[in-house]
Amino acid sequence: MPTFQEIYHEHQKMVYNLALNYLQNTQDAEEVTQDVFVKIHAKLPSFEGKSSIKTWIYRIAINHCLDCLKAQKRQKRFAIFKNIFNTENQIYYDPPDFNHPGVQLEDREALENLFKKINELPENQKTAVILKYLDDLPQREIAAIMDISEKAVESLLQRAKQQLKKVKT
Amino acid sequence: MKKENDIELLKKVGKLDAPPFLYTRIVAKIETTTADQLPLSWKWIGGLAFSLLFLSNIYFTKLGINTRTLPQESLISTLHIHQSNQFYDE
Repeated sequence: MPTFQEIYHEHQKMVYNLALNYLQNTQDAEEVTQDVFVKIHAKLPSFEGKSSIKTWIYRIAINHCLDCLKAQKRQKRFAIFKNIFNTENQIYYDPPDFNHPGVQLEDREALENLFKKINELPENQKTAVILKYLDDLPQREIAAIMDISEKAVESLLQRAKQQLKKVKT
Repeated sequence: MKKENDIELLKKVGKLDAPPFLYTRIVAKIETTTADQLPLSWKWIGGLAFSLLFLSNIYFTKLGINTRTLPQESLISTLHIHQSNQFYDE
């Protein structure tokens, strides 16, 4: 069993980039990466090795990113109510800006629009797209991470592409 | 416009290393969370005390119900109460 330090140095890039791709904000990505590794440290003694350590870390990181997105949505919804009864003209929710350091300046506008559309996809389609096109994982590995069949991954990707095309027209 | 939504464009997104200070922050957070945690023996003692309190509560509640449901007749005879509605003995 590798030590926590070894696990961190081997997988920090993967977790950080995955968080960046889900949240498109460095501050949130750093926070999620931190929480993911704290969780990994806590759960490492009970890791049974039924899947590879990479798959296990991917699952923890994906769940954490999705939880973070849900929390952001809740915050947004709550802020709408608060703003209705707001008398002091105070803004209660400041949505995170698009701040993805992996995006080059010349592609920024196009990628910001594309990420906006990906963010509107259902959770599982979004995960499939991120793992396939951003993390460049083979379909077999995506299926293992998402605990579904390879065919299901294929269909998720097809539906995601169709959905993105619909938005385009 | 077509380029904007092209999914293949995602392959242009570069990969970065996590900031170097992050590991120190993670280690510090792990240390604080483990320091805040109660030792396992204390957790067991707390759980045991709670279950003991809970069980004794059930036991005494049941005991109270049993004493309250004494037969009516025995209560009447112990307190020497008249069973009829007549006020005077004839």
